[in-house]
Amino acid sequence: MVVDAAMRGMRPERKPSRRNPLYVPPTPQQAAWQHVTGTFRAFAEWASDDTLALAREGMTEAQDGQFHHLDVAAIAAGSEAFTKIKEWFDA
Amino acid sequence: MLDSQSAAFAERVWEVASQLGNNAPTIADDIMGEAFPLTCSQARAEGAMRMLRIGIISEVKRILRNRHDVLTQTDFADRCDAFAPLVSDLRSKSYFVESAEEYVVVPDLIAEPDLLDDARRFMRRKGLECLAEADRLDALYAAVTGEKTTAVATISNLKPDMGEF
Repeated sequence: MVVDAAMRGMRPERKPSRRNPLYVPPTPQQAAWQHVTGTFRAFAEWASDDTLALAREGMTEAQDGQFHHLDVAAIAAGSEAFTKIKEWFDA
Repeated sequence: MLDSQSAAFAERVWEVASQLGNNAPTIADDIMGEAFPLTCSQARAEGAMRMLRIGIISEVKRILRNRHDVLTQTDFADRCDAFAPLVSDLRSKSYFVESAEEYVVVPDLIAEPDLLDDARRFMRRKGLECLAEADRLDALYAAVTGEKTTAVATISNLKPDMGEF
């Protein structure tokens, strides 16, 4: 058994055992909406005054970085999408 | 190892798990010397102790997982009945509870909301850690490829059903 165990240790973990037997995969629509809510929920939960202040300091430090413009562009694109989503509620 | 020895080893694993929690390395360290005295001293002499330990940890993990499998599909469904539609959205049947350092099956999480709270917080924190790490990979990728313009990578969420949490 020790040899079996050693052999198994070298292979990837066996997969299916942790799967929920009742699992029903989401529709693409549900998955897309859950992506939105999951992202927002995570961000809202994270964004306390303290963590935002830390992030602001981090931004200041990163401002001269080689890829800062990519971050700025990504945040702009994300904000645009977020605005669009907010508009759905008012529509 | 004989089947009866295997069964005895599994029983010992469960026994120690009930005292020390479902933490495979802790359990392996606790029992391997006693369970395999000759193998351990031989492995130590031959410098194979680390490899032996890895193998035993892997076997302990398998035994712990199989205990979860003892919970049959019907039991699982019955015990989740009141929250069936929400439970069927979950990919896994057990989730890691950090304070307990172990995977806990969904019916037990429902029975103990403190554990459920811990599990959801741990899952979200992992998600945020992954996002931050992906961000660092983005920077490396941009540096490696000399990319100057791509702001947002394409998110491949084409297979939402893949993977396990």
